[in-house]
Amino acid sequence: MEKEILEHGLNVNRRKFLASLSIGIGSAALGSLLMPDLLGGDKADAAFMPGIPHFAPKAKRVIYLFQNGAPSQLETFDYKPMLNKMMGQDLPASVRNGQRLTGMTAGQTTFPLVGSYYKFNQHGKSGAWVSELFPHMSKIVDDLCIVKSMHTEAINHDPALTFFQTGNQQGNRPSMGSWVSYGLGSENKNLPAFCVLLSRGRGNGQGVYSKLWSNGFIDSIHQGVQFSSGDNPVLYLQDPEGIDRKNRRDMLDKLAELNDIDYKNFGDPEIATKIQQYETAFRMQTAVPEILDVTKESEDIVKLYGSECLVPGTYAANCLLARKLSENGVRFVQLYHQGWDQHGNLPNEMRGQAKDVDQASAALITDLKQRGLLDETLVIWGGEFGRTNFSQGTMTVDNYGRDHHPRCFSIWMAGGGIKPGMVYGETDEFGYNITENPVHVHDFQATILNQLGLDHEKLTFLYQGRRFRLTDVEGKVVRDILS
Amino acid sequence: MQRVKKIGEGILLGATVLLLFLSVFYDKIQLPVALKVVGHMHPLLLHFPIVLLLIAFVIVWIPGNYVSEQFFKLVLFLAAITAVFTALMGIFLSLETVAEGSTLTWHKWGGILLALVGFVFYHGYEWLAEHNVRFKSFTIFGAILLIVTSDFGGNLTHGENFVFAPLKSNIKKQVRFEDAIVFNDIVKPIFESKCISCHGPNSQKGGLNLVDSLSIVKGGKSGHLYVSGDPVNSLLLKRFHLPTDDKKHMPPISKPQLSNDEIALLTAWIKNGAKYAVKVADLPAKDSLRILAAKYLSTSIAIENIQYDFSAASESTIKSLNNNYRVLEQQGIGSPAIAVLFYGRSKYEPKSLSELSKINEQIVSLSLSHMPVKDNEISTINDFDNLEKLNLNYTDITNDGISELKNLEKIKEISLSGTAITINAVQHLATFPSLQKIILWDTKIDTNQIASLQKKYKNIVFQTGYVDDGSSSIELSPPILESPDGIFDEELMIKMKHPLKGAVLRYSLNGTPPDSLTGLIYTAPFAIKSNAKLIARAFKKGWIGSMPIKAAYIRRGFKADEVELLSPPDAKYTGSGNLLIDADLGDINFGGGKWLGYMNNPAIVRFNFKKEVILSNAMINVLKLTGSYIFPPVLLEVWGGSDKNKLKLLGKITPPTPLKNEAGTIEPLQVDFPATSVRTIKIVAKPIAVLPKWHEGKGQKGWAFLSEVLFN
Repeated sequence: MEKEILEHGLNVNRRKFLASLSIGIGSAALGSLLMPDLLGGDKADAAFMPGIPHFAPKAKRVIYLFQNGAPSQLETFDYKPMLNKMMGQDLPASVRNGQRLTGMTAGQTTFPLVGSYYKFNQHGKSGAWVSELFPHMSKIVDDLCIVKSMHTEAINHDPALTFFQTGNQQGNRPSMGSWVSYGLGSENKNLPAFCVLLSRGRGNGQGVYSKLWSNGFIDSIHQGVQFSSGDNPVLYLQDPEGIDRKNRRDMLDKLAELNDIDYKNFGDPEIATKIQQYETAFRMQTAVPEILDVTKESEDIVKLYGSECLVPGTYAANCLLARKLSENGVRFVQLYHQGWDQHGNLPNEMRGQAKDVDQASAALITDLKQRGLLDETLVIWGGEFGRTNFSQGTMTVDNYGRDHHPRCFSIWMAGGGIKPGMVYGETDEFGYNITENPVHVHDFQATILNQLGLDHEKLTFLYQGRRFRLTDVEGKVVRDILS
Repeated sequence: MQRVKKIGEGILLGATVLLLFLSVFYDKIQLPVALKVVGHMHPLLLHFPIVLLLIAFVIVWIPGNYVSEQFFKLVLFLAAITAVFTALMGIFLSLETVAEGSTLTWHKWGGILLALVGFVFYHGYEWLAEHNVRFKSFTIFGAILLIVTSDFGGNLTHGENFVFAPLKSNIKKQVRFEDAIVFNDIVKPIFESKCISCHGPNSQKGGLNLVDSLSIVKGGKSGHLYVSGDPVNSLLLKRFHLPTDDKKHMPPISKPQLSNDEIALLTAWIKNGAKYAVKVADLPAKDSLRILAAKYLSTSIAIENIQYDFSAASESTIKSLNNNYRVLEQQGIGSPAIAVLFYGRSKYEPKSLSELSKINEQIVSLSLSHMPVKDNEISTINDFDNLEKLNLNYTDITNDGISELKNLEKIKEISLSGTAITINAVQHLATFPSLQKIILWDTKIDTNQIASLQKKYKNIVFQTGYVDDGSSSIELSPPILESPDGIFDEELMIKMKHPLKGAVLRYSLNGTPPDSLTGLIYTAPFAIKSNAKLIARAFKKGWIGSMPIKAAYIRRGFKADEVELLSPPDAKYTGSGNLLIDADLGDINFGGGKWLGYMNNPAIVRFNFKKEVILSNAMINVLKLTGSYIFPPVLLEVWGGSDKNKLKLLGKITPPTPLKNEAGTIEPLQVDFPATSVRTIKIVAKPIAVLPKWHEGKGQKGWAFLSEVLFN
């Protein structure tokens, strides 16, 4: 009897315990509703949602006019009359301060200062100094923010270029355009989010390589798509003869079914990417020819960009194309104009290079503005480093060369929430060291991402156990130049 | 009654467990808006547990059975349950507070502990009584805890109308640099965020009120706030700079402190004379207040997400409206605002736009650029209450459509480039009070009309663009030559073109540059049969004539069948004799293996023809690159005859020595002679033996470089 009573008591207790427990667990469950990420991942992951910016973006798109080979800052935007005054005199050791040289000038016993062969004038309301090589850019200088205090870590073209584009000198990392595509997704689903256009001037210079627009370890859908100037601007986009649009559609549908089976079996995200890429390509088949057609552009537009814009493969044509792609929702249009590596024969070669790019670069700004698109499009013009204030090789008034100089150089940005009519940063009177507001390449990258609504510290990709960023572990948004 | 008691106890247990759970995982809580309201009721409810717990503690001290057991248990229960809910609400509330410092932490844990005290007291009362524990001491502990916790709570001051604040909009005022006033937009916001809770309309600690300029000038009990122009002796800044453990340090250490930037701004403001009406933009360019203010304004805008007073659309709605031709973009994580962009003209249909009425509140930016939008579709846009930016470039909209637009209270910018609108439409739009910019390039509105508009509506920017009015002088790009220069046999077709329709190509073949009046006009491809120096330029009315393009064409009448090198080239620049007849001129980068180089001995080369040929000249292409010690040969001899062992000298030349700084080129050196029938030609080229005085290697030997040799 006692046993039964005890059992009864225990049963009651057990029931009570279970009843109470359910209340307790219920409460905990209720509480967990307030913690969406209690069990999955930590806050760093939650801070990024592919396709949605972290905060309201100022710029929706970027057009990056890369001047490959590194145009001299001393013949473009960094006016240094002191160099003309001290022409031929040796660079004071106190200015150089033992800084490294490239192999090309390391053997030189003297470092004769050389002033710009080209005259400088002040332009616009901002009174920015611009060399006479750029008459068209001078006219729109009030739309530009010239940064004279850029500096980088690399001293040779390939690492410097790779550093600018991928945030790392060695390569194998995603390009800036890929990061943007990954962060924001594509805007126009019928075009790639990241397009690359190449042109070449007659000046000396190395080539560019596809690793600069590589997706690195991010999904290959974010890779830059190179448009070429021939009959097939996008390779392998045209249907072979005998295949019509319906045929293609049927084939893609069947292929997608097969790929889908594979995807279900293996779950490899590259398979899903592949399906998507086929679909994008299918839609590109109609979208691309429409965009590349420049024959419908008005005579005003042709005059604005210069008649060279009708010659495929030129810088001017690429600028016009960049506007058309950007207007059609391509997030990141990357241009490269090659031939800016003036180790010798600088005055002569720079004249040609400047002629290639001056009018069309200025035209792009004007064209975006007259369509109300400049506010939402960030345009960047600049090379991978600067050039020395002393001459490489023999020097005459009208013939000299300049070696690589990573310690200061000038670029400009326009639109996309960047302050117009501004000159930012300052260099010393020799144009050798930065004296005010230095902007590191990572700062520049952080600023670009910021304008697109992306926090460069939160835009990460987990790969090989590490969260990678475009700006690695550095970079500060240059808030002074934001409007 | 038992049933009610059971339910009550269940709720108490559940709430207590929830409280413990939340306090353990405190860092991971993400609070929905509804619970924020609950949290804000914390200050209302907290008075109940204070009173009830105190009553319960007092009852314990009342001797005898003056208070019934049942009433006591009821009081205990009510105390416990209000304590636990107060603590829960407190946790919700604390998540919103940015205040850092120990006060909040102490208050939080005090509150949690109090809730547990209530729970243990209620459930453990009988056990405690049975086991004769003198729980009077327990009540003392509870009472002290209660007082301490309440005191911490009291220190966390609250503003007015706190409970319903989350339901009210909290739009961050965005101030443009040009419009910002130093006091209103910089100084006052700092006071409002850091000072006004104690020195504002609700509470004027120390008699100080910072609500407006009048009361600020008045100061408080301790005196005037500042000495204009003298930050060092200003009370305000003295208080900021006191050590934090000083009682008089402001703000109190338990409150959010001023940042260094904010202190710097207030210092600069006082130094500047503490003016109230001055605009930031009117300060001198290098003024430190202006620089600091600019930074403050830009950070306050850039870092924060723009706040909107409407709620987000559901994720499924956004997803259902998003497709390949209509893109919806959320403007930031957690932002309700959406930008909509249309692509693919052929896929557009009227319902593509009308379907957007599902998110009429959320659209802040709409781009219909290049879509065939008709006038009768435009009224949908009127429902987009929060639309700020509208792009109608190259749509089919006309004045009729634009006149349909109304009620757009937030609209800031409208793009109408490439549309058929006229000035009437613009005048209609200009009446929208919020409008700042209209883009009107490539429309029927002329510059005079723009000027009159600009005069009338000074607050609106009327953006136009590039129109070729003949005033701008733009250079035409050069013609494109489709026949590459160099060597040809017998005859060559010359083809040119220009990308611009209507461009006239003028050219000459003798090296004189053509201008817009002289020179031959190119109409169709033509043939050349002899050497030619082509120069061509492009011209068109309204354009500046292009830069010339130049090309040299060299005819090769006869090609030798065999080349014998009778003297060896230098080992560094050697190759087969065929280099001289491969129709490749070589280039100025001489390291490419296209040149034969001689220094120590003259070049002696024999060319053999299978059949007898009649020749009258030989052209030897040599390199001139003095910087690299490469000079034209000082002597060129051409020998010829039918029998290779019996050649006679046909002709010779002595090319001049180049001058200093002459540009590097490939020089065609032609040796003419009377027409002679030959089967063999021998060429002798003598390199320079003594470099001229001006050269850095004066007195030394120089190089002679040979490439193509042509016979005519």
